[in-house]
Amino acid sequence: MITGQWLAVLPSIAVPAQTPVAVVIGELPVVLFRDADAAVRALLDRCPHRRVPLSLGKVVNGALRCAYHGWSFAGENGRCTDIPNVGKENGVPASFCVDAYPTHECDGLIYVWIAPTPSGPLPLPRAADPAAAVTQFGHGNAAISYEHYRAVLLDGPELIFDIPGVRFTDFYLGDAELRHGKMVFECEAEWGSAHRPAKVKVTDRPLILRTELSAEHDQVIFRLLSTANAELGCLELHFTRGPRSTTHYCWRYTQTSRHLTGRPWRQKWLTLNSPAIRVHNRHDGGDIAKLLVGPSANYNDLIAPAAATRQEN
Amino acid sequence: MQQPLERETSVDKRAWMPSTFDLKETWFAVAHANQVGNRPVARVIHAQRCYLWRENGRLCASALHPAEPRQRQAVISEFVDEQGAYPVAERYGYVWVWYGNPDHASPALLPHIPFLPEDGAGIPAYMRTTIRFDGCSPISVENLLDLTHADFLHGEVIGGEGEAESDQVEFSYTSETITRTRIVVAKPVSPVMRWVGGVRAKYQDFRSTLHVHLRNNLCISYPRFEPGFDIPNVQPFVPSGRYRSRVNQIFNLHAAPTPFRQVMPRMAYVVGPQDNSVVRPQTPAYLSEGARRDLHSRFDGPGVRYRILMKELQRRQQQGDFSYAADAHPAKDISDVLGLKN
Repeated sequence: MITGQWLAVLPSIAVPAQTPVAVVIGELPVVLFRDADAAVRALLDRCPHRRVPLSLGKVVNGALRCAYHGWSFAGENGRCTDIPNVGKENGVPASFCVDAYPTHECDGLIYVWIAPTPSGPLPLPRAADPAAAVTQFGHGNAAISYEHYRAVLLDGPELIFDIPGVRFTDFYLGDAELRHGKMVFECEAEWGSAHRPAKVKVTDRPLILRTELSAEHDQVIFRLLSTANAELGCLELHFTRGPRSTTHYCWRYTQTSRHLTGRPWRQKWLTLNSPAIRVHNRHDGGDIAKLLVGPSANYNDLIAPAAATRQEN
Repeated sequence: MQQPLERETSVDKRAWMPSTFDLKETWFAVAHANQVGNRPVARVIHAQRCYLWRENGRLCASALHPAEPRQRQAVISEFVDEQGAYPVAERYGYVWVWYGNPDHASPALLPHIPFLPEDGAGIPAYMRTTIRFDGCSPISVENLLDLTHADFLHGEVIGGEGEAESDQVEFSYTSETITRTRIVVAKPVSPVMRWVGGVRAKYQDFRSTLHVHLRNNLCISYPRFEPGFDIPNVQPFVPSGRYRSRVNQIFNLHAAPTPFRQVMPRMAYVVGPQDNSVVRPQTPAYLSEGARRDLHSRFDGPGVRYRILMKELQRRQQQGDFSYAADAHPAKDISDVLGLKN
């Protein structure tokens, strides 16, 4: 079971009122829904009566009602609040309950703690960025294992996402280092189509992609910077183990202007109808296979000890 | 008197793993009789392949397709004779195949179905349906034993979501069968009876008796609606491997008016997928022995007893005892048990 951290599992917009949503964390099925106060609740996605996924049910009076026999469960503590036609004199025993997990909603993401009581600090809200003109959210499952997904994030982020009109390179600017509990490194980027090779004759590339992998959380932040160190865009990507060696991820992307500041007119025109970012949920096995090992080689030295300590806790 | 909520108690400490049951020495209704002609059709009983066809009017059941060469070595199994043939019978509009030692097969062990003609004559094609379930047979039987699911899963067909003046469940059992009766007073009239059957009352009483033969998952159902109609029907769940089942359902709606009698059987194609939506994810959830044990409400009395009886039968068969106890001859007349009106 994945525990010891707040896991960002879905964007807030992915859990509408009245409709439960299923998500699998590791091998654990979890259902998320909003109660009568619109607070997000998380329960084990398995009715303790006949093991049917509770996510097939619906939210009635703030409780999650199973689609099969109508047993209802309170999101706050997982207690069964109603068994249809059982009769008031019998009541429902307090022991009739489903596992409930603490939740937290922050900056448009829903965090779940896979244990009855959280033992870690709440995720901090991001500093308000008044200049953010674009915000996008998403989530999905990648058909690649957690460890390999993390390695690809470090060695070939262009296989995980692309920002239309921006071409990442694997020309690293210095070495990966540990800064404030994060593995940080930078590489050059330039304006252009991601499908074309980087220009070799360019003297100075105008963009930098900074990668910050957290040791505390399964989270990586990509910052697209100008050479003057001004942040143009920021992708916050959370990833965790999914079922059958997949990786579940959810992300939030902010951009300081509608069109990336400094983007040439040609690129603006070419990307006019493109989304600000595309996070891929399909990955070409051939591309992954031929990806050269890069900063992921430093993971064991820089991050693994801290991550292992977290797992033990 | 209402029974208290109870937790599952079992004859042994093992968890409930419905996919593990493979009970033998019984007749399975593997096909509608009108589906079997001169051209062979393939069916499966648990893990055994069975071909059915008619040869000069004679019903044949074999582990081998008739076009295949008879290679004796290839067909020898404990379920067929030296020629690879299964014991086979035709009754109540079904083709029945014996699943067990062929030497023990006897037509006298065919179950009794009081509301279907023994020779199967006069059962129109529209009263027969075939549904596949993506779940193992015992889970489908449990689905029928706890009919309270109908209010939620089949609300638009059956009607009402737990609304009723009273809702009682009774059951009785033998070593080979379990009989559940659900008596509901003043539930909203089911939409199909209102809009197709012309029942204009707001509420109706409902009495549904289900008689289950444990070895072959044969479910004989006699629901009565007042005001409304009787919908006697048979659902023999035939396991197709450990995780899937197939049911050939036959209704007897001769007493119901047109168009209800023609439309109601078609409802199986609406209700079946609805049941399948829960049965399908249920089956893998029961594969693990370590899973937390189920909780039960007072409506689950028959379901809990069903689990106990199935485990007991399985235990007996594992010890080599395949006999039918004196309390449960399959061919026993069950008209009274079902509360069949004359």
